Amino acid sequence: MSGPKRSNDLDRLDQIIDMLTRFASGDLDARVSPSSAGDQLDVVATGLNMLAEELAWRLEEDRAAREHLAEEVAKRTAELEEKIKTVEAQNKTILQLSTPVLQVWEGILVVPVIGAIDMQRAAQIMDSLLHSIERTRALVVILDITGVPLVDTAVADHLIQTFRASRLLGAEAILTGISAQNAQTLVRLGIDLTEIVTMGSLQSGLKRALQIVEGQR
Amino acid sequence: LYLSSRQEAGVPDGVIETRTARMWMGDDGILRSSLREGADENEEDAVANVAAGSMLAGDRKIPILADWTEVSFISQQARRVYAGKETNRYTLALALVVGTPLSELIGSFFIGLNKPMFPTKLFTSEQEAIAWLKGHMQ
Repeated sequence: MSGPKRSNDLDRLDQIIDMLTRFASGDLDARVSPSSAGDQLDVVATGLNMLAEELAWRLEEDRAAREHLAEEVAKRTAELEEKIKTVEAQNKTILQLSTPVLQVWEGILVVPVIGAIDMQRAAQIMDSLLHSIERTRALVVILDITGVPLVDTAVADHLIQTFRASRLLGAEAILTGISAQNAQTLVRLGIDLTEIVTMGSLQSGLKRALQIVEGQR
Repeated sequence: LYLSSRQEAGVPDGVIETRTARMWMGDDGILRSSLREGADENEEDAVANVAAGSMLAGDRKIPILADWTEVSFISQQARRVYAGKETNRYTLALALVVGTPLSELIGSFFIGLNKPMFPTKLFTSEQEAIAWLKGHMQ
C-alpha cells in the first residue's frame, strides 16, 4: 500500500470512528461521507450510515409508540375513573333505596331491612334512621330484620349502637323479625341484646309502638 | 417522470425514465427497472419510481426485475416506499440483481430490515432472477 493511499485510508477510518463515537453518545444524525473510491471502506461507511438511519428511525418510532400508549392509558384511566364514579353513585342510590325509613303512623318509623348487612350498609341505616327521627320527631322506631339472613357480632354491635343513638334522640327502639337461626347465632356468639326491646314479628312490634305512642299522649 | 421529453431524449416507446431509474415492461411480462450508475435515491425518487411502476403495471400484479448493481445509496425513507403498500399493490414478486458488495449490502438492508410485503430475493445472476420470477408467474 502506497504512503498517500494508506494515509487517506487512515483518515477515512478516523471519520468512521468519529461517526460511531458521535452516534454512541446520542447524536443520531451522525453520518460518515463515503468517498468516491467505491472500495470496502465505502461499503463499511454506507452500511454504518444505513444502520444509523434505521436505528434512529426505529428509536423515533418506539418513542412515538410509547407516547401514544401513555396517552391511551391516560384516556382509558380517565374513562374508568368516570365509570367508577357512576357506579359508586349508583351504589349509593341503591343502598339508600334498599333501606327505606317509613313513617307508618304519627310518631312511628319502621325500617324493613332486607338482605345482608355489612359495615357500610349498617352505617347507612343508622344515618338514615337518625335523620328521620330528627325530622319527624318520631317516638318509636321499629327495625325489622325478618329479611336479614345472618346477624353476626359486627351487625349486632351496629344495631345496638343505632338503638342507643335513637334513644338519645328521644325515640324508643324495637327490634323485630329475629329468625330462629339468627337467635341461635346471637346466643352462640354471646351477644347481649337485653338493652334492646325485641318482638317476634313486625305486627307485634307495631302494637307495642302504638301503645307507647298512645301512652305518651 | 420525464414523459413529455421522451421523444427528444431518444427514449424508446414504453420506457419510462426517472431521475434515478429506467423502467419498461418486457415481452415476457416482467417489468424491468434499472437504477442508474451511482444512483443515490431519496424518498422523492422512490415515489416517482413506484408511480412509474404502477403506470406500467396497470391494474395487474406483475413480477419485477430490478437491477441495483450500480446503486450507491437508497435512503431509509426511499426503502420504506419501495417496501410499502403502493408497491405491494402491483408487485407479484421482486428480484433484485446485485453485483458489488455495496449493492448487495443495500439489497440485504432492504430485504432484512424493510421487509417488503411481497416475495423479494437477491440475485447475482439475471438469468436466475428471471427464472425465479417466472416461477411466481405460473
